[in-house]
Amino acid sequence: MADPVLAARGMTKLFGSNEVLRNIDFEVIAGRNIALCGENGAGKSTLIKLMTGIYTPSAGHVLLDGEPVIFAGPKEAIAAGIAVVHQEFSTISALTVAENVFLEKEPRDRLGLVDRRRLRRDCADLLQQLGIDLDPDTPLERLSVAEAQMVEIAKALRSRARVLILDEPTAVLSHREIDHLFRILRDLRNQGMGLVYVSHRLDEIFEVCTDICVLKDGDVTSAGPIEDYDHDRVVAAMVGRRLGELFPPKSGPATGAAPVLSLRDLKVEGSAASVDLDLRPGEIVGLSGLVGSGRTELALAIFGAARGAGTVALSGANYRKRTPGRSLAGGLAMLTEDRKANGLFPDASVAWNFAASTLGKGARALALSPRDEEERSRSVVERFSVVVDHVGQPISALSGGNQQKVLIGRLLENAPKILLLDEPTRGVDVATKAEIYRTLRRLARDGVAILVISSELIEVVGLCDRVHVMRDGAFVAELLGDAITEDGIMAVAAAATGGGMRPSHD
Amino acid sequence: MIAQLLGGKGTVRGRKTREILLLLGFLIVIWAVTTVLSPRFLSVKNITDILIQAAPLGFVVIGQMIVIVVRGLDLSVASIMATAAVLSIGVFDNTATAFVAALLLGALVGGVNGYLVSYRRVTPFLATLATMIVLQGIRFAYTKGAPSGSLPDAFRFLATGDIGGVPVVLIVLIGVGFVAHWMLERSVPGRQLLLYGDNPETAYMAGLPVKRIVISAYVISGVLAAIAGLFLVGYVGIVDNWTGQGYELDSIAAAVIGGASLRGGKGSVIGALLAALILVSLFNIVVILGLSIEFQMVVKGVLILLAATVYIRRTRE
Ligand SMILES: Nc1ncnc2c1ncn2[C@@H]1O[C@H](COP(=O)(O)OP(=O)(O)OP(=O)(O)O)[C@@H](O)[C@H]1O
Ligand SMILES: [Mg+2]
Repeated sequence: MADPVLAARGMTKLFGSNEVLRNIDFEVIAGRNIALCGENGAGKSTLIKLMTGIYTPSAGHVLLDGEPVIFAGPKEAIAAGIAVVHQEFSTISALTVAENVFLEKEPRDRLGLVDRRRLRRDCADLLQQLGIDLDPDTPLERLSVAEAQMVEIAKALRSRARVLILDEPTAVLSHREIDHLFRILRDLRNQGMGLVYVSHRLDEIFEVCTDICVLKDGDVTSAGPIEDYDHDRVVAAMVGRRLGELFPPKSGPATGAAPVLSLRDLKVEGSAASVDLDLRPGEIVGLSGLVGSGRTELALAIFGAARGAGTVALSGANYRKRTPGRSLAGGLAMLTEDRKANGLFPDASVAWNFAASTLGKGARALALSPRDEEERSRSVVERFSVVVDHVGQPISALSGGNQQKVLIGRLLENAPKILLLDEPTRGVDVATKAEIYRTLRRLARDGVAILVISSELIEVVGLCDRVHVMRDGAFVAELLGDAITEDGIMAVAAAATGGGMRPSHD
Repeated sequence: MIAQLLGGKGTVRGRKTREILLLLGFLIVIWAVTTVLSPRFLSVKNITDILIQAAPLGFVVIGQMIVIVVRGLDLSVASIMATAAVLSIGVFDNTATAFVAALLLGALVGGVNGYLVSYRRVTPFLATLATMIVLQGIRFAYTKGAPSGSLPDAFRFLATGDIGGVPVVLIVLIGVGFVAHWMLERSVPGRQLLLYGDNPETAYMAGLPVKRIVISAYVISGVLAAIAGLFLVGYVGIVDNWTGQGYELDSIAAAVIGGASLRGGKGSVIGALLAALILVSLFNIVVILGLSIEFQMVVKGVLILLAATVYIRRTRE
């Protein structure tokens, strides 16, 4: 096999006394795409940060073309041709697409000022090359999370790179963007770029990767060409045991009970179409659709965090002036898709993040009990097997998937009656996904009504009793029982992109 | 054992505790150096004097720190100090009434600041700059440019008197500090302030009363500034139009040195008070060394830079 472009040798990293990686060898080879797998907190992101100058290794070193190098910071790694798309976004929401893509690398005119014309043109060229359909002048805050992710990828590729590392790039993308991304990745690989790909979605790994490396508890437990692996072998290397069924049995659509959440003519701001929906206790309803189909906006409008015209009723009572605070007090809770933007309190401890559930409208007591907070957050840590040294650690020190688990724990703390979940298992490993699915099904059986937005089709198919497919802000189809299949959803969701079926506003 | 005392490595609380110990160590070094320079420095009387001198800044810095915690800045504190003192003492003869009136004025101005920032989305800098100037105008219109002069004896007592040897102002400051510390560390409103500052978007989505949180921070700052104004005029002995001049920047400096982050979500009462004491102690050195007063500014500037670099380094690892 060819010599590696970039390699880690004997890489070891300690955070305090916590040894996250132990003597790891890892190679990136030109023209190959290696998958980096492991449970939440296995050390995937840490390994990437060690190889790109963000963290300094406790022991071991990085080789570039076989020569030892020390990247003093991310800029030096980028200069050496190593492009990274990190798990957490680095884009700035107040800037435009073009400004973000060329951040700190803006083309300058002779006076040293940013040459805005060239900036726009270079960006448009790059986006076109990558086949990304975005206007360079759009401010980032107007983009969906998925579009922002594509900007992030364009940013990594703005200058000629030899290595491209992607840390869970598809966690927020839907099928169409993923297909597109994979085309880009295959092209880059064929052009001789070396790729590293991190994802918890194993089917993707089998689709784009040529090699695999599995981390567990700080060691490489298995590595080799992807042909030697199947789904079960990867899971066994990751989890250390065989997993049972990922999804618990469904309970079938609830028909008898009166709806706890009813939407009538609910129209989200900026959309021409409106939506009717009844959600009954005990059912898990999926909202499927391409990115930009209005799923998140709809959930936000129900929850009171975005504007919407029309009526929302809770157990038959009209719910008018909606705010997140009043929703939560009324037993309507929401998990948002962008945990960094509005899910986490990044500098606060795990316990504080968790205990924020007691600070809303329902807050009765004046005094807080740190001991009580710690105990309750410990029980959540145990239940969802959150990898954390101490619940007093800042939540930003946790791996992405583990942060998500804490947020799910917080969401369930006040025993909500209705759950709106936007990408609930974003970045969560398979074992914990199964635990989350079991928890949701148990809640449903206890009479909670659950609305799930997910770009992961397997999740929608495996979990939901009923699925509404959304397109351009409207429900275009409802699937029940055996009709809920990946192909069935895709066919309806994407129908508009092929022909002239688009509603008039676009 | 020591690690236990320090609150554990890698935890949020541990980091905070270490910052406070660092400040305490710094204060001890300053006092040691001062003692070497001037052996008479280390007497109970002298230390008490420094504490009394630092007290008004202590009140202000607690409020300023709380505003900084919610990602704000309060430039109006000095103006509130002067206006509250000038107006309340000028209008009311009764000391108690004057005191209450001053507090109400502080709360009102703080409420306006908070309203502008939360509901009207004015940047904290502009909102508090505007109220600062308006208050100045009102004050000058009332006094017609000349300070009003006489000061009721009760105020002199509050600021310079003592109860059983302990200065009244320190008793009040410790009381206020204790309540503020408890509120910030152990109560629902305090936690709301800290979490809001950490991420306002998340706070909103988690159902926290975000507008009320911001307004209450500015109200607290306004009330504490009014209290500081009364104690300061009592200490100086005259009611002056420019009472408290410079306290806005000193309090911001002290809050930052005391561990508050201008990015919000971080700050402690103990750290803020220690930092106020450090500032006043350094000013004291400047006086002892016989350097000109302008030198105090240099000291302040250097200290802010020092604090900034220390804290940035700490948050990196
Ligand atoms: N800055 C830090 N300080 C302390 N501990 C850290 C820090 N960064 C990561 N860790 C710890 O290192 C371990 C590995 O984290 P890492 O982010 O590399 O996991 P990951 O494999 O990327 O997981 P995920 O799939 O959830 O993204 C975790 O247990 C995490 O708590
Ligand atoms: Mg990661």
